Amino acid sequence: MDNVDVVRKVEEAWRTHDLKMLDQLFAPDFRAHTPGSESLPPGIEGAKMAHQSSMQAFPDRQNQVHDIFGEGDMVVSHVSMSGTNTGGLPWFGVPANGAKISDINWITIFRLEAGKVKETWATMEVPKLVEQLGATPGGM
Amino acid sequence: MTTPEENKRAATEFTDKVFNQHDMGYLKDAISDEFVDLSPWPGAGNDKTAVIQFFEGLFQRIPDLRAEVQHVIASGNKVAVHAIYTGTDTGGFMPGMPPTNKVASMAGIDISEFDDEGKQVSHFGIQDTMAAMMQLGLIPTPEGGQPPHDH
Repeated sequence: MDNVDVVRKVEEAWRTHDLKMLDQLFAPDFRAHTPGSESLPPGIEGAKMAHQSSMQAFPDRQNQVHDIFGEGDMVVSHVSMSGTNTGGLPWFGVPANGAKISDINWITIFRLEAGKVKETWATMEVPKLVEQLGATPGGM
Repeated sequence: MTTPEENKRAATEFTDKVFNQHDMGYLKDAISDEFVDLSPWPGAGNDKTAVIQFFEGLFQRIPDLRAEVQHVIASGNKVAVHAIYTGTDTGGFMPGMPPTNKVASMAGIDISEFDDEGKQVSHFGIQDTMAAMMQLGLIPTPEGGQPPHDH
């Protein structure tokens, strides 16, 4: 299994909520550099909490994987999500409001070591998400 | 046909020439006439003319804008560039926003596709504009809960 295949499995696990699978794909000392990650526990447990917070907000969430490619120990993925805010997002101060969100994209860069994810960096269309949630960034 | 290595060099050079040197002549030459921007900023168009206008406006609003490349990853005709963009908001972070005269830094990850001549034919990128707007004091920082994402 090459590094691109590992990331394919990672994105499939997030998409299908197969969180047990992630334990085999991430290094024990995995570190996320995504803004906001500093408020999460270290390792894959923190990333799982961010996933839980997304699923709590959007229980009907659907992920679409658009692109995965890599070179050496680095892999890039482009994923988007859609869903309905029936759970609320305390992070943005937005209560459950039934707002439909769609085509919210993010790009993640993965660094792997010995076939396991060691570090990630990501950017996400947060302003678009906030706007679709019905809370303009200025009034957040 | 250009190789992934050549595309990687082109994308790295693009970041330096355009974002550090603000070289508009280089920009016009580096992107194809067929270029499509798949992720224009709000209010911006998506063709080559619109991209040139976008950069002209960006450099007027943030004259000291510069980029520091973190990672460059190439495969096939695609290249991803992860960089940190820093600059002083002297003319409004986005068109219509009031200038704050503060310095902000944000991460951006951009995926570009190259044609057989080594020119960029498409671009899809996401910049952490929310982080920049928080640093500029344009929007408040989140106070509670966990960020919702899969990464």
